[in-house]
Formats: sequence, C-alpha cells, structure tokens
Amino acid sequence: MILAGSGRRAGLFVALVVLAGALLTLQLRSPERRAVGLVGRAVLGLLLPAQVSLGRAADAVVRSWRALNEIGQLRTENARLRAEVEALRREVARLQEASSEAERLRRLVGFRAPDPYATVAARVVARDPSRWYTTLTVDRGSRDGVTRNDPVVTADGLVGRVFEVYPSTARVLLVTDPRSAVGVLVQSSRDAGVVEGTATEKLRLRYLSRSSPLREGDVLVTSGLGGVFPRGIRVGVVRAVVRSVGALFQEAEVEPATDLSRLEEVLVMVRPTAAR
Amino acid sequence: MGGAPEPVLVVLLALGLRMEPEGAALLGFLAGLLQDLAGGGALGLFTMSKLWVGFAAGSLARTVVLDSAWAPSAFAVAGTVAARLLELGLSALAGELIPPLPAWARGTAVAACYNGLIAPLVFAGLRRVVRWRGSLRLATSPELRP
Repeated sequence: MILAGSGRRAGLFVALVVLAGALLTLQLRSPERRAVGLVGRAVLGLLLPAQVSLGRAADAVVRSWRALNEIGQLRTENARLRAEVEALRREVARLQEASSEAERLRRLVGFRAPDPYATVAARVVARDPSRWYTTLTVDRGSRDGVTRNDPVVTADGLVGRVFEVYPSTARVLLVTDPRSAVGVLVQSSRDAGVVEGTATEKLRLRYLSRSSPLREGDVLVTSGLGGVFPRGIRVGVVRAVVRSVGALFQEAEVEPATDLSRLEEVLVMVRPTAAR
Repeated sequence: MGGAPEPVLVVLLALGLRMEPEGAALLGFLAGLLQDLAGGGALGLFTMSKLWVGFAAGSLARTVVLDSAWAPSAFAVAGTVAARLLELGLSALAGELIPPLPAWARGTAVAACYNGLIAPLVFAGLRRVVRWRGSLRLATSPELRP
C-alpha cells in the first residue's frame, strides 16, 4: 500500500517534469522560435547523429508511403487518361469524317447541271455487296421530284441513272452494270461510241469507228443522244485500246470518271415537270 | 532575472518544508506555471525550476531544522541561488537570452538578499497559520467536546 502510494507520487513527479519539459521545448519546435542556446546546441550536437538517422528513416518511410499513394493515383490517372485518349480518338475520327464529308459536299455543290436540269443531293443508303458495280439505293425518291431515268452524277462525272423510284428512295443503275449503255463522244475527236458496263470496276467502249484516232488517256463524255443523259458529262478515261483484225469498230477499256466503289453522296439531276 | 524579491519562491520554500517532496513539486509546478503565464517569458522555464525547487524543499523537510532565527533566511538565500542557477541552465537550454554573468550574479545576490529578508516573516506567518489550523482542528475534534 505504502509502496503503491510512493510509486504513484513518483509517477506524479515524473509526469510533472515531463510536462514542464514539454512546455519548455514546445517553443523550440515552434516556427517562430528556432534559435537554441549554448547548452541547447551542445545537446543537439550530441543528439545529432541519432537525429539524422531517425530523420533518414522517417524520410524513407514517408517516401515509401508517398510512392504507394502515387501508385494508386497513377493507376487512377492512367485509367482516366486512357478514357480521355479513347474519347479524343473518337472525336478525331468524327471530325475527320465530317471534314471528308464536307469536302465531298463542297465538290458536289460545285457541280453545275446543264439546263433544264436541277440537282437533288442524295446519300447512298444501301448497296448490294454481291452486285457492287451494278446498283445502289439513295435516300431520295418521288417525293423529292426524282423520276425514272434521271441521271445520277458526282462532281467527277457520271454515276448512272435512276431505274426504280419509291416515295423516299430510289435505285440507281450504275454505268458499270451490264444492262447500262451510254452514248459517248471522245472529247478530243468528237467521234461517237457507246460505253457499256461489265459488272467490274471497268467500262467497255464499243462501236467506235475504226478510223477514230483513239488513244490512251482520251476522255469520254456523254453525247446527249438518246435523251437520257445530257450532253457533256464525263463518263471515263480510255485506259487500253483494242483493235481486232477484220473488225469494223475498235473497242477500248475505260476507267469510270467517278470512283464507284466509294460513293457516299451523289446528285440526282431532276427535270422540271414541264420538261419531261 | 533582475534583483527583485520573489515572494512566490519564499512561500514555496516555506510550504515545501512542511510537505512531501512530490506534493511540494506539484505546488512548485503550479506556482511556476502561473509565474510563466504572468511573465510572458519562455513558457515552462519557471515551471521547471520551481518544480525542482519545491521537490528539493520537500526532500529536505526531514533534515532541515528551522529552530534558529537565521535558518529561514539562510534557507531562502540558498533556495534563491539554486532556483536562479536552474533558471540560468534552463534558459541556456531553451535558447533564451542569457544575461552576462556579472549582471546575473548581481541580480541573484540582490534577489537572495531580498528573499532572505522576507523569509523570516513568511516562515513565521506560515507557522502561525499552521498553529491556528491545528488549534482549530483540536477545538472541533469530537474527543475534546464536553
């Protein structure tokens, strides 16, 4: 009992000493009060090695903790940046698409249809993969004034003609369809011939006079004969001339003026009602 | 640390001689803390010094006999010097401005003289209070009631 009492008193005394010491040294730790006295410097000098070691250990712990925190932050940031990159890629793709479309439309707008035709811009909405070079469907129909046999063009040249019309869509027979035949003129010599489809990406020029000086690179334009296509629309360029022995006419392989495999927008040349 | 009387220190010494060391230390702690708070100096300086002075006074309670008229004065002078030395050391440790040694010695001597002069009065007053409380306790004791 006595021992317990004396122990408690000793504990109280030690606590008081510690408390007073804490009060005194609190000031040394405060930022406004950095200076220490002569004795303080001596004590600090003795404690310095231990202090440095403890400081280094504490720094290592703090660095490790920060590194751990940074790993978590980096993972979060990485995920966020990945999502951002993905969104930006989508945006770039969208803008590229919009830019490309704007360029195509700008060229289409530049196309001047001959009188009395007016043009209706149409978007290609369907294409049969098995008959890629024969037909396609556009999003304009009779409600837009489109009628059968209306010529379909792009700024580069002839695409084909409308052969089936629905209220809001129309099917177009491409010049590359074997059922298609277009009267043409060789632009340089004005000799007449007929371009027919081959169901491939090439056309065939037929019925051109053997005496015509046809050369590779000659441009073919619509002749205006037959009443379907107006005169002067580019149809294609001669790539190879074929002159068979004993034949009355010469033939040629023709590359279409329009890249028919990459059509997205076209112009339908509609005639006013009075002109039909 | 100028040369002024320190009644707090003298009272602490007088009380400490009648208490257990730890109790005297607690008393010194509180007195020093009050002095620190009132003085505006380094907090903890007087707290620590008075704590040790109180503890020392309590520890000497059984060995010091105050039957001489000069004993309180001598005890107060010794206590003052001890307290001043402690404060000087703690000031150096805490980075407080330390006065030049001659000035410190002069101030300590003056304070010790003052404390030595007032110590007999304080000790005698305290003795009277203790006696008065003792007689009061005896008067109110149930054994002595008629």
